[in-house]
Amino acid sequence: MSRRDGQGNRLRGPGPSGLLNLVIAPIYPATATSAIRLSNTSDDLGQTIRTLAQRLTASLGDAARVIAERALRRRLRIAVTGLSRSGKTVFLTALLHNLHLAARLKEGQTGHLPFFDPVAKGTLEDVALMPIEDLPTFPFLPNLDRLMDAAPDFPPSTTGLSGFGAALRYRPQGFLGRQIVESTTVEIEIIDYPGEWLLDLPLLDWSYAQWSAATLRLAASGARAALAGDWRHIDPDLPASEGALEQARLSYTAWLQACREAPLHLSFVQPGRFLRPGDGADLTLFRFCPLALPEGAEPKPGSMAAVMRDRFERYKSQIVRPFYENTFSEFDRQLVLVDVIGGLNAGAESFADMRRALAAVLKSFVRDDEGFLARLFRSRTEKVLFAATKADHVTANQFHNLRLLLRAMVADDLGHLPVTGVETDVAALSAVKCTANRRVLYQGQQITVLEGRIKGRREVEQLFPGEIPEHLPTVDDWAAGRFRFYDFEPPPLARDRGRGIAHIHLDKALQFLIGDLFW
Amino acid sequence: MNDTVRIKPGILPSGTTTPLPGAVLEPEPALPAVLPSAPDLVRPRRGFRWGRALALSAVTLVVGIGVIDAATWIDDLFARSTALGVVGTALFGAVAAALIGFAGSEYRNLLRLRSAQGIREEGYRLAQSAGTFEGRGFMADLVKLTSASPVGRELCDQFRDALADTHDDREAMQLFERLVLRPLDDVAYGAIRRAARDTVVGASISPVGGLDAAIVLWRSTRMVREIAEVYGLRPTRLSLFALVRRMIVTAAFSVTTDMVADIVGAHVGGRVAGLVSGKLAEGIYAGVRTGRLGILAIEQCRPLPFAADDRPNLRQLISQSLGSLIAPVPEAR
Repeated sequence: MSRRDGQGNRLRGPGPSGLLNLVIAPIYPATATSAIRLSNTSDDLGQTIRTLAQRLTASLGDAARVIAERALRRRLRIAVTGLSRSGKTVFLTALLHNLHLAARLKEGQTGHLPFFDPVAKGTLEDVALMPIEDLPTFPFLPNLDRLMDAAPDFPPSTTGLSGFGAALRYRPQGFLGRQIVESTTVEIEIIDYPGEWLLDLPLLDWSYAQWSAATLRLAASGARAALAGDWRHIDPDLPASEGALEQARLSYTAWLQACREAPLHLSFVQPGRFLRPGDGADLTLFRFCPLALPEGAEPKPGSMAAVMRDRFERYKSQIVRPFYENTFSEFDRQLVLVDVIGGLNAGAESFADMRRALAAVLKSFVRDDEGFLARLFRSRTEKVLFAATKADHVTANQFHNLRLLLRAMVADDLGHLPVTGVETDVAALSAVKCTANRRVLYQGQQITVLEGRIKGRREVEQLFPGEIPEHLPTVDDWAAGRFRFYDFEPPPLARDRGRGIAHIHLDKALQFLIGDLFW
Repeated sequence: MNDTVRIKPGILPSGTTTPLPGAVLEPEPALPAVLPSAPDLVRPRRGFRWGRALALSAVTLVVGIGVIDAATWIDDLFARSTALGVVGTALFGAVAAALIGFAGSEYRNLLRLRSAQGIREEGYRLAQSAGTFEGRGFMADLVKLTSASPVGRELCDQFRDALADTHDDREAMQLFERLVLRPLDDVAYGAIRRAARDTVVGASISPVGGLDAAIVLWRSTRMVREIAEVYGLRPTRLSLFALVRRMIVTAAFSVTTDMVADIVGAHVGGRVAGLVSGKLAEGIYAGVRTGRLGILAIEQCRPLPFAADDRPNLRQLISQSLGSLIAPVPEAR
């Protein structure tokens, strides 16, 4: 999507609209960035001054180029990050559908996106979907059809990598923008992928021995300790065979599956890609599992330990690294979706495990860190939005607490968010609003309740969903069994197909992430 | 919602009653028509008010003379003939009823103006409070007030359409601000621009000194009425007078820094214009004064206070209306 200039620097001007390219070209000619070496041998003062002047020009040229690039960058990539079941796919489907319809609204109408400025001001003219080069297209229409069906259902969870681009054409409102162009385009690229793959992110900083030790420690603690698995009994010194390695992979994958499924509902399952290998993945690279390695000893060549270490490194270099380099190496904004309510439902251990998984994933995005990924992400990410999804599972007066709780979840024990130097915000959102808030009289009190169809039931019912704590739940909270939030069936959307999907705060999230691009 | 007793989560029994079925904007408790007005910027005077006593006694005197006169007149008529007396009584009754009706409607309008003031204060409070859901009844009042203007009615429909039950008080106020008030502000600015333009032209070309003052007075009054109508206030004579009086008091007691900057800027612009033509400069001064009056009128009529970064810019308005001497200002929609 981006082009390169003579020095191999990426140019991020707006590709298809030729007008702005014309503006870029004269601002930084190719010579401006070429390095000029100060001559050591020459004692000619004039030459030195000339060289210094050229250097100054060169750095001024660089500055101008940076400014122009910043000013004219109208395309950006949004990373939607979230563990599995955090609602990435539903979010993207609802977002696209609402955006699409917003461009077709009558004047004065704001559809479901009144907090997204281009819609509120009526300047959005068109939204076009575009495929992204070298990526399967996000199955937007099939997902939408499922939601819009007479018996609506949520889209299935993602099994592979996909993405889409959206070109948002709008009329600039700023003084300068109006002078230059009648309408211009902001292009966004969004990528969807199985949330499990994210958990491979921390592997890149670990060696096989480190990972094995950490995973075995985790496997011996809590509910995991009770889960049996053949892989626990593999002798590291045994000579390796492909059959035995495949057995180990199957056994370890089954164990990971058991960790993730009911009743454990654990999130920290590594490597996550074992559960969702994706289409066409070379499964021989997956033939490894954690082994109890003697401290500091080099494994015997040809032993299980040696071969698994080799597979682990190849898994990292051939599967994990390309995925992150292609997907996450250059994004400008990040949306982190967290299923806080699901975490509360699953109980204390699962909640803690979700926090652990989030911390591990987000640690890779810390910009101050000198890690491999940190270098990749440096100076690109400008905004990060943490969002608690499925906010429609609680009444609207709980959103404030939901945001506070999410903040406590993603922050470290000192209350610091895992990102610094970028604009951050915390939101409570729901891509599809399945419930309505009602005020009712109950036992002499006026309370706010939810009205909706609980998953698997036929009738619309009213229920009091309970309250969200504003801090991490205490032992007493868990013991009291305070958290039992119901899942709901999607509402019948087909009726108002032309109006879009009712949601909670999707427009505010969109405004935070890309609203500043519309000048 | 701070429920006093913690209710156990779960599905509610069918016996639960719904005090507020369906609609979002169903008013909860209806707000009283008259809200306590703002603490006055002027310190209340103590002691006996001679001015008020004079006005009251004068009014009583006039009314008394009228009633006594009418009574003797009707008595006189009855003395001549019963039929004449009945006709006379009917005529007097009609006049008295019309007078009472007139006074009543003026009084109601005054109350409406005062309730707009109360609404502004409540709105300011709600705009600051995130995460609460107390303001639905207030929003209903706000919508009712603003719907009184034809443009406002349409915008309020859009607002109602966009407001969801999950928007808290602050979000609801933000929505109202961006979907209803900003478009209304634009209409009001249009009224100011037109009035300023007319004043500039009128004052520049008026041949005699007294005439331009009359033009400014007439045009400003019309502008203030237009602005009040934009925000749904429908002012009548007395309430218009009260509005103008309050604007003057506010102007005298709250000269904010940006206002000063605006005026200085506008005056410097006037001086430059003065180099071109003395008469035109006078006209521009008159236009600036009208513009200032218009902004004060907006601040008094707008049901919510301006956000800090959204205050109207006098200089911009004046330069736009000067520009409109060449290209016409679009009429209000």
